[in-house]
Amino acid sequence: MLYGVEDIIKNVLSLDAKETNLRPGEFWAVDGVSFELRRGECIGLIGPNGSGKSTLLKMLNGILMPDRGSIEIKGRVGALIELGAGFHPMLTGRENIYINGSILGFSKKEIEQKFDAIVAFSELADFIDTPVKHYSSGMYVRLGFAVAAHMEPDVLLIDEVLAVGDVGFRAKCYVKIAEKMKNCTVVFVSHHMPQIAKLCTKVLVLDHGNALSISDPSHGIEQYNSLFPDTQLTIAGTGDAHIENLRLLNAHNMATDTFMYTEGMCIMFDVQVAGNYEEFLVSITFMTADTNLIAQCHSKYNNTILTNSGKRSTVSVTIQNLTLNPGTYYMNVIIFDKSNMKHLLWMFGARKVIIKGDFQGGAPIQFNAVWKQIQQ
Amino acid sequence: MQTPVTEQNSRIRIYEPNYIKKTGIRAWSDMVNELIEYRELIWRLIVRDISARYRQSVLGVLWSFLTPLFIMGIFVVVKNNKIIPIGDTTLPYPAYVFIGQMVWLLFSQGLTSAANSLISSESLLAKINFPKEVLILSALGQTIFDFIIRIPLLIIIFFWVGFVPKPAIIFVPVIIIPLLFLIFGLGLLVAMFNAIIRDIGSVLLIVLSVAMFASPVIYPPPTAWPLNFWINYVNPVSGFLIAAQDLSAKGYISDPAGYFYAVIFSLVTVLVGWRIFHLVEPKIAERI
Repeated sequence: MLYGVEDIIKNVLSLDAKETNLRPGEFWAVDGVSFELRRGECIGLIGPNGSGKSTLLKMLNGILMPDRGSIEIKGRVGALIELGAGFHPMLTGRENIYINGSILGFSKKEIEQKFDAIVAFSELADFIDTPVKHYSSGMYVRLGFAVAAHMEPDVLLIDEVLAVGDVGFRAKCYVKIAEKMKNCTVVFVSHHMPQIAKLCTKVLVLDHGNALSISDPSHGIEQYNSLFPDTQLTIAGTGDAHIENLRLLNAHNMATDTFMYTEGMCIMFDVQVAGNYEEFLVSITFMTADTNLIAQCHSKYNNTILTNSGKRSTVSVTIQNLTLNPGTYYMNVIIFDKSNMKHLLWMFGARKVIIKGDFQGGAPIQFNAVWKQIQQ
Repeated sequence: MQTPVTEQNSRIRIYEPNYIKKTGIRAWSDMVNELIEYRELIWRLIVRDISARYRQSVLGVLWSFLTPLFIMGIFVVVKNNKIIPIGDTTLPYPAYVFIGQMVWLLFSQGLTSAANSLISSESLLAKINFPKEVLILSALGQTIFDFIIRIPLLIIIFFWVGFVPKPAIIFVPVIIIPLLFLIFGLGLLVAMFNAIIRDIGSVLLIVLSVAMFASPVIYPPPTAWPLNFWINYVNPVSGFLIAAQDLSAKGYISDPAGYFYAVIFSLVTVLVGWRIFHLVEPKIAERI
């Protein structure tokens, strides 16, 4: 607060406000970041929480001024940062469209022209004359997005507000954004890497306010993932089963955690299950760094019966073709009883698996398909 | 459909430290143009707040009548029972108090709502880029609306006391226009400081509640030195109060010098306040 007063006095007296020295307790929220974008390009800003993404976005939007360096933007800037800005709960959807539109910089004429399109997009025609305080939170943001989505800026700033509404509406939001991207320059902040990979042409990785890299999406995403510590091994279950010597072998029977795309993988482990279980099932699942399950190997699915005598045995699981997208994954191993109900052992994050390859797809799994083209 | 890239749309913005280098006329034309560009938003926000205020209230606009009526009632009783000796006023006392209240409330309510306008739109300020003067002007707009809807009640009161005001009363709205500048100028300053140091708002409330008694609202302007100097001249609102009362009662402004001084003071305030606000504007979102 005192710094605030100090800054104000300096500004008023036109003293040099270019603070190149930090006062005690201050830090650079964004430092040494520079990039250039043209129409049709989209840059993704990624980084852990507090790395300066939102601050950078606010500076691009002109809300915060840089204390050193300079930002140059040509054209109208639109920000999809706050949905439903200025909405008043007592007023109807119709009135709020006008208010929100004015705040976003539409003229009255523009709003009138787009009004029907906005209502149609929000799918709230039946409730447009209801005060928005009676809206559900989903309806509220839908209306907000519908107005914001009808901006026609030259530079579009998007913060992670996109995941709004139900599945259907979210899909619609993405289509709308992709449509907008054709005509403008986009700066996109998200923690959802598949979206970044899909939408962006460049990725800027930020950490503690510093730009780690500006590169193509696949490198940027890899670097982003490497900023986080590995998922810790967590063991749960009844404790009636034990696994030892879990190892991953590549095509040359070498123990490793790095595999080439489409290479084969053999998972081997020694298992000991308590004697009172005659049979057991094993499920091996793969997940992304953000714990989304994406692939599974289940012994029951492959009609394998694993019998148990209470003695130690070695299980090997061979996957012919590992068609996971290049990236970092984690493997979980779960041992069930025969009925598939009881978890005898649950190893969460049992192994890290790194897939390498030249190809970077948008989805986690590539099917190995047979392609043909018949010339007419 | 893409909007055609017009001259204004394709302008280049540069954000860098100490970006406000312009001085003099160019800076002022920028400041005024910015507000003209956003006039629609100001209007929208005024309409929003007024319609929201009355949407769920039974008494609706009657609420705007209650404060001045209540004060008028109390002081009519106080005067009639000679609890406090109040000298003779140029207008019948109820009308005198009410017209004084109209002008005073314009000032005090305008200033209070301006002081809170930035804080109550905190999330907007932190996320969306627009000239922040817009919020102060929209707060001012609401108070002007209150002033206007009190006019019919004033007419009723004139009927009730059986006094026909001089025709010059229709110029009262014109002569208080400089008062609006004063409110805007002071409003910008208190809003700005209140955004950073919340205590300012509380101090303002105390000052305003006392200041009414330091203005010729419920008593006639003092004539004896030194009280007349402090109340009629040092208090910048008094010039407008006295002028409004004079126009209704006498049809002319009895103390043009006092009014002129108040106008000058208001214009200086708005120039200084607006300029300071504009210089500090980029820091507000950072510090609020």
